[in-house]
Order: sequence, then structure tokens, then C-alpha cells
Amino acid sequence: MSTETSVTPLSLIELDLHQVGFETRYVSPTENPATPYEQLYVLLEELSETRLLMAQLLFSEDIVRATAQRAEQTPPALRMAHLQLTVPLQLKKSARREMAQLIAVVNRYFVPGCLGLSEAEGVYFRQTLSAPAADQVDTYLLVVALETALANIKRFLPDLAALAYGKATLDTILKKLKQKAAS
Amino acid sequence: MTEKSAVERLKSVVNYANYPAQLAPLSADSEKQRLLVGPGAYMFAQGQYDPQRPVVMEMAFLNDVLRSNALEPNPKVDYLQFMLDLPFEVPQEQHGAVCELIAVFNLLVPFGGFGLHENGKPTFRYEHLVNREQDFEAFVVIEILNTLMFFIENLGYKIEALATGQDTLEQMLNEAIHFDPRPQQAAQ
Repeated sequence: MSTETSVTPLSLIELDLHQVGFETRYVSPTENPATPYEQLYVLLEELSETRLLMAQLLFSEDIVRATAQRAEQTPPALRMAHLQLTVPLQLKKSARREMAQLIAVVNRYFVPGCLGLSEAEGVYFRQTLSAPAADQVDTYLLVVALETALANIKRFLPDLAALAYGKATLDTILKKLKQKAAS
Repeated sequence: MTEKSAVERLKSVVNYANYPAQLAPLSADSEKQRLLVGPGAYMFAQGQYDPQRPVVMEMAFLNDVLRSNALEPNPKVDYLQFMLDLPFEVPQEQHGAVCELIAVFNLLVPFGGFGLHENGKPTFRYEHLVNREQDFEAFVVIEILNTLMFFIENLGYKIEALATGQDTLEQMLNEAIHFDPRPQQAAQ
């Protein structure tokens, strides 16, 4: 649990998630100079002793503000809040183009949210919850979003892992997905 | 007075934000409706619009979509889905490169993401999580719509430039991405 004395929208979300049984870790904006915005890590599932599925929660507006502050600029007017829920899937780096193609197909079935591919995180899942303000994020909806994300990730992780670890070709996986969708 | 359905309220909100919009059934024999926002002219190059290729944003509640397909709705929540097909096709041989570019663009968009249909149609979608009563904040919906239209407009044509071989993936990835203000006359 957070040891921060200041109460922020994300620290309150942490409190709510903790109360419904999620294991969490709050990272304050001062903890790491490279990430001067608050973040919340939520344990979704332990896939193995060394591999955890963790959701990272942060308000994208905080990044915009931090970036503007670093550049000594006035941040743009931000009129609503976007809580980003990101889950890196920790898959071995694989052929980028083939993984991008697989993700494009999987995303047709992956609702809500979508998978993406970045240099830093590899394959990740992302869903954004939009609210009028940071302190108006509905925790019940967030809990459902976390549960749904986990269920969807577990549904498609074997196919993504098969490509990432070279256990199956893109064509084989695409055929399998097509059959799955038709059934 | 009959109470308006959520999608009818949605239409009022979208019209209030100066977008043309019309209701349409979700399927031929469905009572449930979706909202078609547009048509708007497609921007095929920076600041150049093609009135012959209209774009339409489709908005629908996913539980309504499920009900109209005789499927069980989600008992816990609902999602207001925003979906738009870009008005061009990606040739099969360009699918790989376009998917790579889409992966980069999806890091830029604040929510939702581009995708590619099997038929080669690039698409964009975002699901806005709402409660099962389909309550939504008008202001939030307008902000989402404005933001999505901005990113789709400013990135969509770049996908086409790659798909048609006008640009290469390397050029695209090396070039700084500029977002220019939209000309007033093309606001819809």
C-alpha cells in the first residue's frame, strides 16, 4: 500500500482496488526522476514464479503535464481524464512484422481494448477509461475492465506466445484463429 | 412523453457538437439502433479532402449489438463503441508493412487503435466503458469523438500513402509526424 501522505486520484483508486482484493503497488511521481508522474501497478495473475501479469495504471494527462514541465512549457488545456490500463505481455522479441500482423487480426476479436507493439514493452494490451475528471473514475467499471482484460489476455496469449517463441508459423495461427472465430 | 433511448440521447449530443448524424437499425430486423456520424470528407493528403470518399463513424452500445444478434448482453457493464472504416484497401502484399505502421500509430493515439480487416480495409475502433444502464457524460462523448476524428484524419491518409506505395515504411518511421489544425470548412 502507498506510504504517500498526499491523497491523489490514483492513490484513492489504489485504496479501492486493495479493498476488493487486488495486490497493488503505488509509485509516486518523486520515486523515479524518469517517470515524474504517479503510477499504480496491479497484479492480475502469476503466470509462473518469475512471470507476472501486471497492469500499469496512469493518467495520460499526467505524462502530458510532466513533459510540458520538463520542457518548461505551459501544458495544454486538458479537459478530461484518461486512465490508461496497460499490460505488458512479456513475450520474447520476435519478428516484428509477423507479430504486428498477428496483433491486427487478434484485435478484431479483442474487445474491449487492443493489443499493441512497442520497442520498449514488446506486445502489450491497452485499454483507456475516459472520465470527466481524474477523481471521477468509477472503480466498479475499472474492476470489470481489469477482469475483462485478464480474461481476454489469457484467451489469446497462447497464440501470441506460439508466434513469439517460434512454436507455430503466422499462417498456422491465423488459420486456427479463423476456425475459432467461425465456431 | 416517451423517454429517449441512450442512442437517441447520443444523437442529440453529437448533433449539438455540430456533427451530422443519423440513427440506423443495428440489423435488418433489430429494434436496437446505432448512430452513424457523418458523412465527412476523407482527408487524403495534408489539408486536401476527397468528397467522393466519405467517412462515417459508427457508434453503438455493444450490449445492443449482442441483443440484436440474439446473444446475451454483458450483465455487468456496457461499452459505447466508436468504429470507422477508412475508405481504401490495403493490397495483400502491403499488409505486413501497414500492420507495422499501425503498431507505431497506435502508440500515438491516446485511446483506441487502428486495425486491419482481413479484406484489407483499415479500421479504427475504441470502446468507452459505461455502466449497464448506458449512462454517458455528453461532454466526455464529444471530447472522445473530437479526439478520435482528429487522429484518424491526421494518421489515416498516411496509412494509405504506405498502402499505395507512395511512401515506404522507413520514410514514414523516420519522418516527424505533424498535426496541423483542421481547415474550418472541412470541420464536418
